[in-house]
Amino acid sequence: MTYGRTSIIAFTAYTCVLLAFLFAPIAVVVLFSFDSKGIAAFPFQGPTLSWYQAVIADPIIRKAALNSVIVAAGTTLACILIGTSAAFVIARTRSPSTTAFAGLMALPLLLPHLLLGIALLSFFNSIGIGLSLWTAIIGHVLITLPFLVFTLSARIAGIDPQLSEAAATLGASPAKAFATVTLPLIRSAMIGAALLVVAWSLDEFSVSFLTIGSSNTLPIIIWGQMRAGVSPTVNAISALMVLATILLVCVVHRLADLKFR
Amino acid sequence: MVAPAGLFMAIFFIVPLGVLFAYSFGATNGIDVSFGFSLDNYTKVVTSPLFRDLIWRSLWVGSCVGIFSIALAFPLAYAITLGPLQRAGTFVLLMVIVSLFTAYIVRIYAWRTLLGKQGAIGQLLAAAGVPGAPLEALSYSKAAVIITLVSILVPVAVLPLTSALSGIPPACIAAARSLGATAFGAFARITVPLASRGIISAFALTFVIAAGDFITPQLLGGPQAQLAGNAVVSRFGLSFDWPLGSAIAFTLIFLMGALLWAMTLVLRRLGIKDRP
Repeated sequence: MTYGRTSIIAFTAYTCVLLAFLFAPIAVVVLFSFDSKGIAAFPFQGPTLSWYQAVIADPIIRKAALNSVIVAAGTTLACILIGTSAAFVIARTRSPSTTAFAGLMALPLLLPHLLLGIALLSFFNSIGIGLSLWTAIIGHVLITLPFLVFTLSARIAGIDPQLSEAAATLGASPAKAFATVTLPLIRSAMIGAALLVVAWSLDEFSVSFLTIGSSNTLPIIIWGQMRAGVSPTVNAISALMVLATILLVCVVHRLADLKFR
Repeated sequence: MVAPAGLFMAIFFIVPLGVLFAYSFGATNGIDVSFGFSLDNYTKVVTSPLFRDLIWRSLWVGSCVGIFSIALAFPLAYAITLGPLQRAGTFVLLMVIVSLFTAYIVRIYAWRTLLGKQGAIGQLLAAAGVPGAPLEALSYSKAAVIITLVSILVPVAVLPLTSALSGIPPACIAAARSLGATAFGAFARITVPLASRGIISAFALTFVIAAGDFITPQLLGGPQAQLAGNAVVSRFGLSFDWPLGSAIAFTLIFLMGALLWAMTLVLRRLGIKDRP
């Protein structure tokens, strides 16, 4: 279809306005993170990096950042270990029980995170497990597992199953066929899906908030500082988290060529 | 092969939901939760005007956010699939995904710096000499909650819409046009019905997240814009009453499911199916 100049201009303008609606608030926060005044208010007083120095120097924030990384790493590792075989089943078998299994795996996406958080909280409480980074990791796996499983199964479904059959015919053991034929074919999708899990886990708030007990992650620090009132370091923490997100998403885009459509 | 994931889902998803559901029929003495078979908590939720208001407000805010998110996301999804911006599609979609993956709490914080009482928008307008009355209405209000949630959830709506619209063969629309349909007629009678599945999933996803949210109303809402999620979280926190919190949560989930189900029934009656 061909479009006239008016509709091209109209759609371009609309897209720019909508993207501005999505990004302008974040841009303002990033801007204020470099302002020496310390609160998110005009006018600017002058550029400074002191809030970033304060973030790096603060032992509580450093501990929270470390916790965020530990939880994200644990979540990603667990998702790959648990989710890879599930992705193969969903991609390679067609039966009512597979459909039911895929439905179960997708269900956490359709429920509010609040419900998942209080369900886990009640469960851990009822069997006497104290809240810790471990319980937060379980909560994060519950939320991110569908991402990994369905991104991966979409890629696996695009691989010809005859390739690994050919490897088997040529004498490769199932393990060797997997390691030398299947794994290289899904490796980029796997890394991409894993990085998306990392990004999601680093940013997750509501389930962490309900299942982590007295520990902190960076989003929980932001929540706490917002509730406490003005805190100049929130801008800098937020800017660093946005930077991490942009880097992760761009790496995924470059490396895995994931189809988001 | 399904054992690891199946086991994980059984232990950490189905059983916890079961425990939570069982709690909703239990009671608390302020220290411990005891199981039981009483409907007291549900009676409290249904009869208390406070909880009834909160739940209706959640459903209402969720529906508004769902509709506004789709209304804003649809032209963008159209532009990069069937419309004139197809070549920029990958870049626009990448921007949308960056926004989607930017931390929920950071985006809420960002909106608070704009909409809050000392927010940047208010200061700009004050500096320009605009009186502050409409801003008082905007900060810490239901409108602030809806604006923030729409901005957070537009990316969530873009993805299913893009996927549905990219599945429509442009030849279908061209055929309708050559048979005499106006541009609007072809859009309303060909494009929208063919994209209905994407529209329905976009609404379901955004509605569920918005209606179940507690963070945005807590940080941007003020007392008049609290949602049912806030009542649930406070029952699981300061005012220790997990059974009542659980009953509020399940009532909300039940009504959310009923609303989505009713919506698909109505659309089906209108000849729009959730599956092509």
